[in-house]
Amino acid sequence: MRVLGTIFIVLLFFYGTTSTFSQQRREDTIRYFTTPTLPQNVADVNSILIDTGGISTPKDTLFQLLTKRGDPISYYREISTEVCFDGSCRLLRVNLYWNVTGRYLGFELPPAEFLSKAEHEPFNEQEYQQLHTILADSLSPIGNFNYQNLFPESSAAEGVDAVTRPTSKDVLPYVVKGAVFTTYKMWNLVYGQMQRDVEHATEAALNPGFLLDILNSDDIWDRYWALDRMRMLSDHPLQMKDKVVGFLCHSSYNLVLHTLTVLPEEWGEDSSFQQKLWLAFDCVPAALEPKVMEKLGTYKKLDRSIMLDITDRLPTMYGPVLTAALQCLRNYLPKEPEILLRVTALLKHNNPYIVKQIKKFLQEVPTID
Amino acid sequence: MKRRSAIATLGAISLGLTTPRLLKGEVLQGPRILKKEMLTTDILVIGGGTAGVVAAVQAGRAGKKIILVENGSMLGGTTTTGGVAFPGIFFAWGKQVIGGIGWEMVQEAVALNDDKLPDFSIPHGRQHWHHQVRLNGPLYAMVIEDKCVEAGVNLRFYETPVEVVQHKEGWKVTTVGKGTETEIVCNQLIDCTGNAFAVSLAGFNLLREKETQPGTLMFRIGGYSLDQLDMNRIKDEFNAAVDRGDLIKGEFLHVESLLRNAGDNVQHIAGADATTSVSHTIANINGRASLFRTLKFLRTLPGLTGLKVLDMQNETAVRETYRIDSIYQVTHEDYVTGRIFEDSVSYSYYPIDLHDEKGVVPKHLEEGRVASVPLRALIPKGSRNLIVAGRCVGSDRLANSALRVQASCMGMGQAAAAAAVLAHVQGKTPAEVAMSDLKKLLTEHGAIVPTG
Ligand SMILES: Cc1cc2nc3c(=O)[nH]c(=O)nc-3n(C[C@H](O)[C@H](O)[C@H](O)COP(=O)(O)OP(=O)(O)OC[C@H]3O[C@@H](n4cnc5c(N)ncnc54)[C@H](O)[C@@H]3O)c2cc1C
Repeated sequence: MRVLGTIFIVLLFFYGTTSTFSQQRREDTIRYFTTPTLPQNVADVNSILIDTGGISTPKDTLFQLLTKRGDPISYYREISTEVCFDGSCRLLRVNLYWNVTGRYLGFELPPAEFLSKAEHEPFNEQEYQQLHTILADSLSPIGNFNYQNLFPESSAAEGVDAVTRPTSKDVLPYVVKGAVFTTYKMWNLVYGQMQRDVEHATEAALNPGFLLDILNSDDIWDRYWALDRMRMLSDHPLQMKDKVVGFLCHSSYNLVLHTLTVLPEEWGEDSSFQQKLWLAFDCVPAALEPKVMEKLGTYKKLDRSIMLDITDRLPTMYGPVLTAALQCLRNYLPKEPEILLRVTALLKHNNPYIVKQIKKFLQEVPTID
Repeated sequence: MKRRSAIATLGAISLGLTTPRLLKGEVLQGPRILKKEMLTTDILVIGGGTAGVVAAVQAGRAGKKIILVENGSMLGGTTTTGGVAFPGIFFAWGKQVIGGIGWEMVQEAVALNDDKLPDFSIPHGRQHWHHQVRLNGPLYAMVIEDKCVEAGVNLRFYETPVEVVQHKEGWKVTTVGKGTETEIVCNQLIDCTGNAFAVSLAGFNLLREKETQPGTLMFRIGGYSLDQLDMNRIKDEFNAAVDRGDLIKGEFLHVESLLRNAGDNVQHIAGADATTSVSHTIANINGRASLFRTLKFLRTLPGLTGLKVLDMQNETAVRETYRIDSIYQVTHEDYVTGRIFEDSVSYSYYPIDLHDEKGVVPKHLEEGRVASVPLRALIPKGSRNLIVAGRCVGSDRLANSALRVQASCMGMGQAAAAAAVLAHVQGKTPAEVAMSDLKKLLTEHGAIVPTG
């Protein structure tokens, strides 16, 4: 159910007047944002009731910001939690924002609200920026700490920003000084259950056009996220396939490897897709060439022109590429005398290791008469 | 007649004495005679460690007859036997700089263990170890052995060279092993012992620092809960024990990291040297004694009374021993400026990483810089048909502290073997091989050759 509340009006005003999120600040509102996955043209807000599993607040609202088309573009949660300084506590009120992929988007304090350190000293500009940078780091070592590591002394009470007590030396580089608990708490909120709630909400709203929008993001997290969810859709339009195959020529080894790993098998039923994948063989990092070949080898029927191309290149192949190429051709050899002949010709290769490899391979192709 | 029959009886008695009555299923094994053998090969690699296996596989895949002599019981050297199963660094500034056979084996082990590679597109910042690849050591040992066997490498475990002399074919290397003495005649010799042992036996000078970096015995401990520990008290007690002389200063610099990391790469054994049986025995005894002493002490402290050793490597891993006196020595300046030489055969990327008695403060390379290894740094001055790969690469001490890391050693291993292969085919010595041929062979086999 969609609820249009006052917050929607405020946000509409805000999003309508700004095009970028980085370090924007309204007069009395402190807010820090990263580059969003999608343009933030908010047309609507959806309130999603979340079962928190907690006792005091068993239900909470996840606000889903939507485009005119009804696709999510970001999310936020209104956080209200206690942070204590040496015995005295105060409320931390902050709105945390996520991209549709669960990636941290930013934070915003309610009007006139500010964050404070020990002894209620307010954060300065640099400290807000530092906090924002820490929150944007999904791999921050702070994720590996627990309360005990934050406050080495056994007397440290849970939930206290200890200034008078030393902060563990290991923790210091990853927190805002004097606001250890605030940093820790916010980081864990960003990357905890709330992040998963966001991901689930986006997954429920996925459609091909929307997924393509996410694939178009420049952020690597967003791309992985979208690649991992292609299997949730039965329809993969050509534009999406082209975008994904395009990743194979990216300079990031990990993105290329990941893309090869998640390419849906059924795409290979289409020979024009096979051609695109084969073209990508020449632009993937050398270490991933065998993986392209292995992928081609998984297709039920490999395009004949690709088979011939591979065969042409066999004499210059070595090691795992050659092994993968031979495996790729394996099932077709009994019915492809021309290719078989050229593979057999490699028995005259001047490298005895290759000759041994080919001999072994030919023995293992069972149906050759 | 009488005398003759007496002797005959004696013979029968002595025969009865020396020939035991065999029970069913038993066979008699006479006294062992040392098996002497003569073998010939195109290329001989001594040392089947981080660099050596890559070299052997490269030579095998290039179609050469290849023998690999390893004094241990499995392949992988420091990566496996030493337990330093986190090779680095293959990627620099978002791009792969070391690939080829080393990377192929590493990523195969990663995939077989369902591990995930670090995301190399995310800069590692000051934490370069984020770009190291954590391996399952035993699995890696099996992967590389399988690759060697597949490449036709003749593996000889438990063997070490005792003599290296020139021969009309190239070299004659005498090795001894369990019950064996073997003369191996080879055309090209590749020393991957990490200590330039074969180079030294062949009569060439080596270089060594007065004080070398410490070694480390890798281990894992458990049986305690970190959250239950009073770390300040433990630190105080630990430091007091060091001051009293109950524990040796410098062996464990930070008791906190020893406990937090549950062992791993946390110990320093001064002067650890793996070059000879005697020096390696001392390094092993010192490594184990240090752990034993510390373990017994820690078990007296509150929260640690149940502390246990879960695993321990067979050897103290060694960081630094000898470097070759090469045609060209890579300098610290070359390394940090990312110098590319006309004969650069592989890249190397790591912070300058010199460990001393105070620990280590890695010095990172400036953005965009990637160092390289010239072929000349792998060749002992004045030698023929001889090349090295691995941590004994010709370099000054600071450059060596970065060059010695595993990805770099693997890159060197492949390059050294490719040079040896071409030298063998063309009847040359590795220094005479044309760079264009070398680049071609290396890239055909997936290696990344520096361009500048
Ligand atoms: C504690 C420690 C931590 C390290 N941390 C890292 C790290 O984090 N990342 C990283 O990349 N690198 C690290 N390094 C460095 C790196 O592991 C080594 O420098 C590298 O593995 C050396 O490779 P190598 O091939 O030269 O020697 P090794 O891998 O040691 O191989 C030498 C081989 O030769 C054999 N051998 C030696 N002598 C003989 C002989 N006489 N006869 C026959 N065989 C012989 C040995 O048994 C061994 O198998 C670390 C090293 C140490 C010790």
